[in-house]
Amino acid sequence: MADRAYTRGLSLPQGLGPGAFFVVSLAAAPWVFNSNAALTVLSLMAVAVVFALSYNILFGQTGLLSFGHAVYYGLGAYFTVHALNYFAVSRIPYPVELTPLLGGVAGLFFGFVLGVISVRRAGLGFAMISFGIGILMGSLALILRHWFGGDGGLAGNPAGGTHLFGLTLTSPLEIYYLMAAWCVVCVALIYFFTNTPLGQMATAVRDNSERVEFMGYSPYQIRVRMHTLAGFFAGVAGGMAAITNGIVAPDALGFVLSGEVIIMAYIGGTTIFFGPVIGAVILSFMQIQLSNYTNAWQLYLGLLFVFIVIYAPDGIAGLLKMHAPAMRYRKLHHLLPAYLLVAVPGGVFLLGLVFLVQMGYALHGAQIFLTQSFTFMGLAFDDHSVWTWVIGAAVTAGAFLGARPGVARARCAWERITVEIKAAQALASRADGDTG
Amino acid sequence: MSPPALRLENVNKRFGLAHIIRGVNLDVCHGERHAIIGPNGAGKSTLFDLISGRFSLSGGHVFLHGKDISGHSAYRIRRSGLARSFQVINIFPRLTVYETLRCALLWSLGYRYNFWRRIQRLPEVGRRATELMEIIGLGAQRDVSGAELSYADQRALEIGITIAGEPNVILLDEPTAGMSRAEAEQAVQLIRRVTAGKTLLIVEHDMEVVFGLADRISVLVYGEVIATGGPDEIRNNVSVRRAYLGSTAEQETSAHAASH
Repeated sequence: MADRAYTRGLSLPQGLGPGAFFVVSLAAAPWVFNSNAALTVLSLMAVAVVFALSYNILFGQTGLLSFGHAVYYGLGAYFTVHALNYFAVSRIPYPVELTPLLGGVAGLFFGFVLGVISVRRAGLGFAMISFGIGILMGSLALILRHWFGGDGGLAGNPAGGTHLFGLTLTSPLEIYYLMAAWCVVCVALIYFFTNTPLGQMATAVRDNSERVEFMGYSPYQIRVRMHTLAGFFAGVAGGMAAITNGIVAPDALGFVLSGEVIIMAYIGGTTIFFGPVIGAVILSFMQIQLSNYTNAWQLYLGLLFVFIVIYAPDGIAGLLKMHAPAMRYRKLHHLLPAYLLVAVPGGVFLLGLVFLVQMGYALHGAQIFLTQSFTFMGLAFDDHSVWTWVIGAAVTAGAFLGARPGVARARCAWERITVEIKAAQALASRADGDTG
Repeated sequence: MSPPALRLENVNKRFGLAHIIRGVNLDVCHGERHAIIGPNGAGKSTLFDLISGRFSLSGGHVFLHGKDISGHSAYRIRRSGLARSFQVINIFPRLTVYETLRCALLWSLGYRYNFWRRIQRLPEVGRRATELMEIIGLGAQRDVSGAELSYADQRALEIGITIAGEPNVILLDEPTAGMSRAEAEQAVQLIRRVTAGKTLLIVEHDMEVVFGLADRISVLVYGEVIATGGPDEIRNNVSVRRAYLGSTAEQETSAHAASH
């Protein structure tokens, strides 16, 4: 049998399909989203993708739950900005396009040094130490005000200095394509590393670090190396962010970002290689776009996160992957009626929920801006009337209950196709045995 | 004369006030199949934990091929050629059988912490893992993850991990625990096959397995070796019968009587 790239340790995509899809969508995105603002959003998504994957090197692959991963991102960003400012005036012809690499080296260095002291134990011990390092670095940024630029941060202009390929980095399109290129290179490298002896042993350490010792490996040595690698890619992501934003502030190494990267990885799915990519895109979108429409975007993010943690611990990628066998055996159509039965009341429920939340915000806002009136989907509602609230809540609750028959039916359909797929697999393996 | 494959010299272990292993001396020769028996709580698994570096010694020395390995870490001891299995299943729930065996092989094949070569491109790793999979009879379960294997298959994988990379001293901790008669017989066949020419130290409760497999037997009672010898010697040893075999026989008799 050919040696397939089959991994349960960290589920890896099969063949070139997903990778090609990823590259093509990165290359084609500017044709669809071509405003300058949209291009900046896309660049930040590319940054988030690298950052989220670097986090998953720790969490999904090595089993290290870090609460301070932004430290390496922030340091990478700061080193890159300092490099930008240095190369803008010095005679050293280091191209600006390659400065994220310097951010990566900074991340690698600190990832190694802080890894050495923090990965002796995994689990709670590491989680708490990483949290502590996060606090330490956050406060350090406010103490060393000169180097970190104080509260306002430091600016760096990517347009100055030497450039590669005749780039000037003055337009968002150029910056986007630079970020996309870095993103592809980093994703390819991270993917490559998951398939090496070290990457494979990291999944073993995650699953059962004690037994790894009885295979001749030191779990500590493996964790240090993985922590260093994760630091490197987080540093590159920070450097990419510094070029995109042209500025870096102390919140780049703060808690909020450390929390966000956990949410990205988790929403997307930490057990699947491309999971964090999905999470990074979703969170960036909500953060940058949804926040234009509503102040409640963080609440929606929180709801999504809680939903995923409770109902889909393998994230959105896990939900998709769950359907792969059904698709392979052409059983998907058995699920569709049930899914439709869930989707209709489910959609109404979500709308109702958003309606209530938005109205709540409007009511709260009305105390500040008395003239503000509440509109939802183009219609005006009286947010001070009890009846609006009662009817809204009743519709939402009704829709929630209305989704239950569909859920029950979906469960039945799943049970049925699981049995059918098992039978088909048994048949296939028997045929295999006959021919082989 | 070459030193014994494994030598324990006055090995002691205390947990706080509890003195679990009390001055154990033991020599296991090259190629010998040595069984350790004893009642529950005698310290058999603890002794394995001390030899394999899972716990640190409170006193005494362990020699592997004449080299003092006392105080070495578990992975260092494994690198010196001593491997062990566990009584309680201790495998990788989310790795497949094939991946698990590949991991178990990597160090001995010299790949260490390599991160610049694709594991699929390392021909010996794949070939040896496949061989190993056939030997332990899990060829059909290649892509099944550890958590999804049946109990007997998990035990087989446990042995597969232990023998991967050709260790020359193998410690098996109750490899047939929880198995049916037929499964245990198969497991014994497997153990015979994979430990041929190697030094084996085995803890086992199943007396049929012990007396069928072992060249020599040591009896451990309350942290002390009360007797060492060939199967016949041990079977006929009075103090052993009183301390261990006899007590089981008595229990069985009384249980038998109670059921009537």
